Amino acid sequence: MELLDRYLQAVRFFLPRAQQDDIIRELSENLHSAIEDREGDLGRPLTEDELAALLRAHGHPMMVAGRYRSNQQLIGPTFFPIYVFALKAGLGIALLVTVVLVTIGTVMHGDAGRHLLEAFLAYPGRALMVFAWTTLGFAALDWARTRVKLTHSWDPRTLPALVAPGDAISRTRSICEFLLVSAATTWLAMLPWAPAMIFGPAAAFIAPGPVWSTVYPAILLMSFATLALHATNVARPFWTPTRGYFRAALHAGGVVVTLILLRATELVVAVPEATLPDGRPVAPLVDMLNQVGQLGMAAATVVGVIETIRALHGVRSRRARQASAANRKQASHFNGA
Amino acid sequence: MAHGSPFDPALFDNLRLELRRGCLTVAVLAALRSEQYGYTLRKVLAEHGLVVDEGTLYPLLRRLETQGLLVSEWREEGKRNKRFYRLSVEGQRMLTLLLVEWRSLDTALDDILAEAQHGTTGPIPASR
Repeated sequence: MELLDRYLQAVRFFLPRAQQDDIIRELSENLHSAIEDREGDLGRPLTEDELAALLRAHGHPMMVAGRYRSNQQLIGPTFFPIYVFALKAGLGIALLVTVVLVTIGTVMHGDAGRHLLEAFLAYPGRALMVFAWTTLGFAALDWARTRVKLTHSWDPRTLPALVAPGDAISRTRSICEFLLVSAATTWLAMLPWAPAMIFGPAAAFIAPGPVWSTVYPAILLMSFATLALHATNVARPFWTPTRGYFRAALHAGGVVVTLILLRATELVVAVPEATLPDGRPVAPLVDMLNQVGQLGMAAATVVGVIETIRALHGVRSRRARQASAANRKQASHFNGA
Repeated sequence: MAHGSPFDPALFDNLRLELRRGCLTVAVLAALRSEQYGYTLRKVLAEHGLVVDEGTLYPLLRRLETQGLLVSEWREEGKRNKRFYRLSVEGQRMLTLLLVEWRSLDTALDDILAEAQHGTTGPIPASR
C-alpha cells in the first residue's frame, strides 16, 4: 500500500492546511473500500499495476485536491469578459504611452534609434504591470461581488440614455485624444519654467513675441478644458447637447486666440544682440518665421471657424434627430392604441 | 456550431457536464435520505445509472455539508472508521423544493418537445 500512501501524501500537499487531515482521512477510507471491493471481485490482492490504474482513474493529486478548494477561479465568469476588455485597453494605452514617450524623447533630445530601443525594452515591463494590476483589481472586484450583493442594488433607470448611432463617440479615439492632449498640456504648462522647450537650441537667438504672454493663459485654460472633454467622452462615449456646445465653444475660443495672434506682427522676436551660429544676423530668419506663422494662424483660423460650425451643426442635427424619433414614437403609440 | 458542421465531442462533453452538474446535486440529496459513506454512495448512484467520478462526488459531499444540507459522522464499520453522510432537516426541505423545480422543468421541456413535434413552434433540425 506504499503507492496509496504516496498518492495520499501528494494530494495532501495541495489541500488547504486546515482541512488536510480530515480530507485525507476520508479519502483514504474511500480508496481502501474501493481497493477491497476490487480485491473481492478478483479474489486476490491487487498488483502494483492494478493499484496504479485505480489511482490514475481517481485523478491526478493536484486535480483531486483542487476540487476541494471553495474558490477555484481568480476572476469568475461575471467579470471575465470585462476583464479581457480592460486588459486589451490597458495594454493598448501602455503601447500608446510608450509611443508618445519615444516621440517626446526624440523631439527633445534627438537620437530616435536609442529612444525606440529603450521603448522596445521598456514595453514588456510596462505591459506586465498593466496585466498584474488589472488582474489584481478584477480579482478584488470579484471577491467583493461574492460578499456584497452589488447586482441587486442597481437601478435600470440610472443607465445612460439610449445612444443614437450618430451620437456615439469612439472610445479608442477619445483615449488617444486624451493622451495626446495630456502630453501637449503638460508641455504647455512647463513652458514658463523651461522656455527652451519651444525653440530648442534656437532659443539662443529667437524668442516668443510679446503677444504670447497675452494668449498663454487662455491657451492653457482651453487645453485643460479639452482634456476634461476627452475624459468625459471616454467615460460616457456619446454626444450630449451640453458637450456639443462645449466643444463648439472650445473651437470658437481657439478662433479668438488665432485671430489675436494673426493681428500680432511679431509672433517671434530676435534675442537682443544675438546672431545666428554662423555669425549672420537673425532678422531675416525672424521675418520669415513671422510670415510663415501668420500663414499658419490664418489657416488655423479658417479650420477653427469650420470646426465651430461643424460642432454647432452636429448639435442641431442631433436635436432634430431626437425630435423626429420622439414624433415617430408618439405616432406608433397612437397607432398601437 | 453551425448547422451541418461535424459533431463536436468537446462541445457535447461541455454541455453534458453543465446539464449533469445541477442534476447530480439533486440525485445526491435524494440518495442520502438513507445514510451512506462516500464510496457506497458512488456505487448506489452508479447502480441507478448515474456514474460519477470520485473527484467530483467527494468534494460535493463536503460542500453540501458546509451548506448545511448534509450532516456527517465518523463511525466504525467493517473494522474501519468511515464518514457517513445523511440528509439534514434543511437538506430535506431543500430537496423537496428542488424536486418541485425539477418536475416543473421536466414538464416544461416535455411540453416544448411535444409542441415542436406537432409543428407549432417551427421545424427543429433532425437528430443525428
